This record gives sequence, structure tokens and C-alpha cells, in this order.
Amino acid sequence: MSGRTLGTAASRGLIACHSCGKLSPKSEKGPCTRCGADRHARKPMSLQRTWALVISAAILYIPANTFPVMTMIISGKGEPHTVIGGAIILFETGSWSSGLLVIFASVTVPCFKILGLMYLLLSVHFKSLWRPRDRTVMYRVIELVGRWSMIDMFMVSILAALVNLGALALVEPGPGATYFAAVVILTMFAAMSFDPRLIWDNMEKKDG
Amino acid sequence: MADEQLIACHECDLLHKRKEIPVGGTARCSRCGSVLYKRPADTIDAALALAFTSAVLFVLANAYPFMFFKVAGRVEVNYLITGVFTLTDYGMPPLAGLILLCSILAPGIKIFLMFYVLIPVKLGRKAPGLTRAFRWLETTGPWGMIEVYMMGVVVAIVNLLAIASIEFGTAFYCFVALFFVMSAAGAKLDPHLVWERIE
Repeated sequence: MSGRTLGTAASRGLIACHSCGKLSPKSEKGPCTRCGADRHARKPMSLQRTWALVISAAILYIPANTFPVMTMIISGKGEPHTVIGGAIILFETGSWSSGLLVIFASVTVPCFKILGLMYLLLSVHFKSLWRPRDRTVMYRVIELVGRWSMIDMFMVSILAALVNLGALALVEPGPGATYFAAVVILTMFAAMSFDPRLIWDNMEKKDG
Repeated sequence: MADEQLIACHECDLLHKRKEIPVGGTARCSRCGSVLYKRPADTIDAALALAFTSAVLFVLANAYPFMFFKVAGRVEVNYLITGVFTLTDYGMPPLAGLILLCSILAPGIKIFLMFYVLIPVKLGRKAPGLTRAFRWLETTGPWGMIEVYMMGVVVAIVNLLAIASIEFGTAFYCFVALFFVMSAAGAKLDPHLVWERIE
């Protein structure tokens, strides 16, 4: 054994259970003896699944933002608007913080997730050695921040249910909302299927 | 060999006799100082108490009115689940299902699983499917989005400021409290401790 560290579990032929953390020899068959979860050295087909989910999310992101998510009709007047259109309306009525929140949650976060995961995937494919720790932090942020894209979905559902007074005041949800929800779900699953240990596996190979 | 009484340092392999240590204490290898075992303050009680609080708040959050929308003398009363039905009526069941999952089902399932795991652990008994239940608890975690829902409420209200008055019902405050209590319960629950007790 060389160097100051003991090396990764994988280099010792050990598998750490993804659910309860218990270490077991790779040669052992069957699920984790402590918690019953399936044992894998790395998340199965991580790169393939993540690519599939990220690309699907990227494709659906287009209808999610071009189709309207909501129509607000007050006393017979009203027009459908998209996610970004809704944010603009918030800006126009002076609600800067809400408008920024919507832009952040519905535009910045999904783009960051999709592009960020694509970058991480490419960095693993090209065996990049660039700042593994920072890339892992980036992955952590992607995982944590994803759920906040749901803000717009909750808002549409609340408004549609609340503003339900017929001709007087009415909010109708639009098709864009379903596409948008799909993008959120796909990016959540994509982040879950990416295995950050792959970043470090490439570092290991460099040390030989 | 009685493994309960002997423990080997996982860093230098020296054998030690397992002794009782005070609560909150740590046992270290006499040769290399590595941690052999710990005795944490009992977190099961705290997590269980918070689980009870969560259950009460959850029931209240669903049973009482959530928000009132008032305009021109008419009032629309909404419950937590109203949005789900409305979206279904508009012909968008997948979105309705997602909202249902993230705002009601996931928190509810988490609370139920907390009881299912913590009560047998506290009583020192075995229960069927305990390991699977605790695993599902970890999986369900990210799907409870109460705090995101709350921000959705905030943005919804801002959208309506010009045209109507909004009032909060009992359920709203219970839902907000539920988020804080569930976060605390999650923080108190040490997974390693639970896995040890389940094993």
C-alpha cells in the first residue's frame, strides 16, 4: 500500500451499501445483509440513464416554456401566459422579488441542472482530472436545488383552485404546466441516477 | 469468540475489551486513538415525539380550510387537496398526481414510516418489513416539498394582490408548522443508530 490514504472501497474489493453504508466484499452475492438493498459498486448504468433523462428533459424544456402555463380571467378579460410571461407580468406590477423568484426557480434552476449534469457527464466521459472536489460540490448543489423548480407548478395549482369564481374571476391551467412538471421530474431522476464516485474513479486511474 | 466483548481497532487492529461508557462519550483505541465505538444521547425519543406532533399537524393541515379567496362579496374556500381536484377537472391528472404526491402523500407517508420504524425500535421489538420501511423512508425524503409549496403560496398571493383579498385558514399555519417539525424530526433521527437497532 502506497501513499497516505487507504484507497477507495472499490480498490479493496469492497462494496458500501448505498442505503445503510455497510461494507461487504465484492465477491459476496446477494443483497446487503443489514438492510436488504441491492448491492452495486457503482450505480447501475449511471451514465446511460443520466444521459437519457437529461436529453429528454432538455427536449421537453422547449414546450414547457413555449406553451402557456396559466390563463387568468378577471371580469371577462385575460390572456394565457407562459412561465416567463408570468414573470414579466409580476415585474410590470412591481413585484420584483416574486418575479425574480419565478425566473430563478423556473428558468435558472432547470437550465443549471440540465447543463450542469451534461458538463459532469462529459467530464467523466473525457476522464477529466479538473477539480474533482468542486465537481462533486456542483453535483450536490444540483441535487439540492432541483426541487425548487416545482414552485411554479404549486403556484398554478393553488391559483387554479383558489380563483374559481366563474365569470367573475377564473384561473385556468395550461398545457405548459404538464410539460414543465415533466422537466422537473426528469431532472430529479437524472440527478439521482448520476454516480459522483465516477468523478473520483478517473482520479484513481491517474495514480495508477 | 465472544464478539460482543472484544473489539478490534479498525485502524491498527489492536484488540480491546468492550466497556460501558457515559452517554455522549467516545471510546478510542489505546494505541492509535482511532474511534472504536460511541454512545450517543438517545435521539429516538426526540424523533418519536416530533413524529407525534407531525401526525397531529398533518391531520389538521388537511382537515381544516387552507385559504380563503374573497372578491366582490363572494368567497372561495380551499383545502390543501382542492388544487388536486381542480387540476383533474381541467383534464390534467398527471400534474394533479404530482402535486398530490409532493404536498400530501410524501409527507404523510414519511410520518407513517417514522412511526412504523421508531415505535418497534423504541420498544426493542421486531416488526415485519422494518428494514424495507426504513429504506423507503430515506427514498421518500426528497419528495416531500412542503417548503416549496409554501413559496408557491407566496407567489400566488402576490399574483392576486391587485384583485382580491386572501385569508389564511387554520390549515395554512399547521402546514407551515409541519414543515419545521418534520425538518427537526429528520435532524434528530440518526440513521446509523436506527440501523444498529434494527439489525
